[in-house]
Amino acid sequence: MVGQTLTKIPSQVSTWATWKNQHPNTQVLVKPALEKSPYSSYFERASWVGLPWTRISRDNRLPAKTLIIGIELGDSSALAIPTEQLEREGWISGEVAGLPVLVGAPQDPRAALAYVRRIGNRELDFSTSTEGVYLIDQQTGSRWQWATGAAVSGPLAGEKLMPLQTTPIYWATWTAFHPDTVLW
Amino acid sequence: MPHRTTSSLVSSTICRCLAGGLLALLLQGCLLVAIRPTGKGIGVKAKDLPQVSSLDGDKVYSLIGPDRIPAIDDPQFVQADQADFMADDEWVLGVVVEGEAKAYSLWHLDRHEIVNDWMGGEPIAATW
Repeated sequence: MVGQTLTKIPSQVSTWATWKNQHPNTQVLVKPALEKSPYSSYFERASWVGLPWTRISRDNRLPAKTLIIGIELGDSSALAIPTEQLEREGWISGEVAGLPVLVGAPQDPRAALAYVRRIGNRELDFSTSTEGVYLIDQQTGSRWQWATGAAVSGPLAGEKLMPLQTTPIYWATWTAFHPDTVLW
Repeated sequence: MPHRTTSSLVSSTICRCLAGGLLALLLQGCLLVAIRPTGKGIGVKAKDLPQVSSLDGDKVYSLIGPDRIPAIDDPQFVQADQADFMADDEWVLGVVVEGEAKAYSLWHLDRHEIVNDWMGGEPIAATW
């Protein structure tokens, strides 16, 4: 199968509470009740990175075990945003390789959402609404659900932003697969 | 809202074989599961491990045998209101295909790493 590539399916990492709230009809894999991840000690210790004899990180722009949100942009371009930065700044808007991108983590920095902030040829700039569950584009004043990227009111009602796959991942691992990643 | 513009983007260089990259990561994951480090150090040295191949100049070692981390091949599911085995703060990998939503506990996937499942009539592998 050398040379073959599996097709990726969009997925989302979130807490169970968030997921079932967004998808009330969801099914969930049957398993034993668990109290925590078996790797919890590894996750909690910043000084423990990979295996002792492996070459851990080739990119020193961030410490190896910095938790980031990694986003692949489809043309081999990649974007990384530290979760601490997302938690601090909320929704972040920018451009990567010519693609206008919007990234936010309203509920948890590890459960980030990302969209291409463009409908047709129109690039949109967003601000958050006072209710907190909507984004408002400055061009038309339309209101968008951040959880779905769908416009629910205004001139663009019915439109939907194209979602981008987000991955919570350690910096060292991300840069091993994306050595040319852009870092916000 | 903060706004950023990208710096000049370096053209892509090495394109890694997806399977090989996953293999290297899985091998690392295998060791963490098999040894269950306690923070006192991992009592395995590279020289004690058989090198099975190389990948882009990196050595690939065999840590444990095939299928020592068992994939879930016959996954069973229940609706959310029947899932008393789930904690609200438990992390999940969520997937929606053709309106069908499924969640896979990451705490559980830490022990199995792959679920061979079906969605939308297509075979899928949920991996973590």
